[in-house]
Amino acid sequence: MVNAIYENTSLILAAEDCSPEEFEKLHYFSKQEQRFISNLIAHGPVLLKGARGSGKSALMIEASRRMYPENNLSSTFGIYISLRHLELLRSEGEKYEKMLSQLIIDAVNKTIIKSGHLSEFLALPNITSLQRELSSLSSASGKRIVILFDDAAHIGREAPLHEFFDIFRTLSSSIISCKAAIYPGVTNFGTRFDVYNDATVIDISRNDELEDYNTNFAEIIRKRFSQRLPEESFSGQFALENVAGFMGRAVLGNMRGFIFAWNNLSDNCKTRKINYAHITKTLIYLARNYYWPLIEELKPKLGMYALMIDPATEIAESIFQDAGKQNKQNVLILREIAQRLSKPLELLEYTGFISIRDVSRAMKSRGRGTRYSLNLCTLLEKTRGARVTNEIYTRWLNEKNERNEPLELHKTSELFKIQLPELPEHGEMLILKEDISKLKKSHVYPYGLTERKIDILKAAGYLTVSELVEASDESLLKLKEIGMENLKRIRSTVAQAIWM
Amino acid sequence: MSSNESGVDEPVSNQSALAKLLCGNVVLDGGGIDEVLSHLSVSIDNVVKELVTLESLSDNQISLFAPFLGRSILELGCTALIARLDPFRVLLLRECQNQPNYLMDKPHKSSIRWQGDVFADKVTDLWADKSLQNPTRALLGDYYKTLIWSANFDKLLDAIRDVSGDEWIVNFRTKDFESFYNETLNNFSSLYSELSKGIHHELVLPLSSALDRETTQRLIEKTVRNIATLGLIVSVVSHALNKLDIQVAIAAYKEIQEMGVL
Repeated sequence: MVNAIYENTSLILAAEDCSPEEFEKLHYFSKQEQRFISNLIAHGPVLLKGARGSGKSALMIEASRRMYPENNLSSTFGIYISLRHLELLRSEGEKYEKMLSQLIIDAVNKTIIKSGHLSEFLALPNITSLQRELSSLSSASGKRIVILFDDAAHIGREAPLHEFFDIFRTLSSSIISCKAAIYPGVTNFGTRFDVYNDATVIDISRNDELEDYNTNFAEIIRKRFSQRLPEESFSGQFALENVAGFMGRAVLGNMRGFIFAWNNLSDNCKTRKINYAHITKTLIYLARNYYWPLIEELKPKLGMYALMIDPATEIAESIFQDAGKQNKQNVLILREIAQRLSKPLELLEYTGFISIRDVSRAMKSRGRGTRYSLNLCTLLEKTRGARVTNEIYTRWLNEKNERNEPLELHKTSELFKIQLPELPEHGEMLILKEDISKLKKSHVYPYGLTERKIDILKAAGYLTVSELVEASDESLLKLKEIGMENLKRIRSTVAQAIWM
Repeated sequence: MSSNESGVDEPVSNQSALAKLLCGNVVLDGGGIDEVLSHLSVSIDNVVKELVTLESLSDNQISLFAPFLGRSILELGCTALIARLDPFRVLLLRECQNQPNYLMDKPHKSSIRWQGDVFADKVTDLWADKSLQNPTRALLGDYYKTLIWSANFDKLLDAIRDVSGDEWIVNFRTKDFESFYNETLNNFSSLYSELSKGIHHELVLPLSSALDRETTQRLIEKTVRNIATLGLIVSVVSHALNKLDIQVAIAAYKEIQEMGVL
């Protein structure tokens, strides 16, 4: 069941929640991103890989906007589908196939309505019928078909992934291209799907070693924040491009982190000139109210990997402590250790604490290590004085193009001693069984529910997150004191709790 | 070298970045393998000149012409890399083509073949006596994987560790050897087939959009990127012919990304 009112767009910073008009106004795509979009439109299967908030949905939506029927001139029929459907996560086998097929059929019909002149798509909810009808649609429209599956693959939800990649592979043909957004750490594609043969993987993380990094982030600011922070707030070393580039680097290029940071910076500084104190306040705010709560939020969603959250936290504490003490921006972990700790490191990548830069790099002493960049928010907390200084600002902006040698972690480091727990074969998504009190406004759920609303929901019999997610819009709106705005907030909080 | 109207090679004045990376520092007026690599370099230059004009063509012209140019880059590039790593193979071919009985209208066993010189059957036990009787010397065969690509992978990573501002290099550094190699194998294999569809008019269905502008652009970019990346690795292979200084190779690799294909 899909509810009509899903999330409040003003509360969530995700592209998939924007109205079409807002989407165009708010989004800017760099040259590199234009190429990613082009790959999404071109024929051929693609997996778009990126951490939470890296901008996968925005790329997919933009690709669909450039295809037919949004773009009348395109030779490609573009179908965008969000797979944020709880029932999908709970199904396997035929039931999964039927459910996914129905979602595709609904999305195709929605797209056909936009085109205005193609007849209804009448496939049955199974892959064979879907294939046949999609071929007919291609012939009738004279266009090849691209299906964009957003939110397709999550860490720790392994069973439906097998089914999904099977269907992804089966549906792909000379006229149908499947594209799916996946997260780092998704490594289990089932037995039939060969990630190298059956798709091209595109990593969309933004690397500060690339040209136009500052300019690209400055363009995003001009699109989104020109009214909140006018150009007059920026001058000298705090020119807009510098501050935007610095903040982009601080959050390792993560778009959601960047928007969160800039929202806070705008509140901090109002119409005054930006200075180090404002930037410091924002970065520390992010460390406490964005990064660490993300770890907490993630745990109950991870299924069998929930046990990896504690080691991930331990690893983060250890790395940032040492790097902060020694003023390092990067860490080089002996490969043997990095391989053993790969799952918790992937979780730290997913949450934006770290970002991989080199898989294999020679270490000064001996051996080879994997290099990760560290986010400056968490790092600053552990740095002496915990404030952005001129030295930190210029070093991170790297105007002199000097390399900050990484912190090297060998077998003598604390990291080597960290033990990983045995993983169970299966694991449930704990969040679904949680009491809805968990969704109370907090660091983890900054736009969460008030105690009063929680009491009303409980009195009506919605005790667990699972029960709340399955409630229809109508039944919730019937409750006393639950209006349209409250409903949006409930949907928004539940979505944050369940989805990555 | 370049060919004038009478078919005589002239000295190379403006070797493209792609030709430089794939053929190395060509030796002008040389004989034997030098002549082969000079000729391949000129041929790659000629294709590159056409590739950069693709953008101005109509969609129909692009779908007719681009797959041919892509396949040319793929085949010329592979031949150049084979010539630099295994000159004997190409010298043999050169001598065969110099023979008076070499006929243009007949297939020849000595020709460079996709299956055999670029791809080969899997070898289950590389060092078994039986396997070594007639070991494959295919560019993407199992012996090359071990002796060339894997053996020089870390060497290249060390050479490019501090390069910044290069999108392909930044991306290359985030892959381990197995991921890189599996992706490369799959890319070469699929590109060869996909580009074929545009050359041989295999399709009997009206798939007019199968090779549209976006798809062709992706195919060409992928072709150039994959062959150039192998060229970059060859720049650190100690026994490769016409070896480029690694900094020159890195600069060429970057220049290729900026050549504006489509």
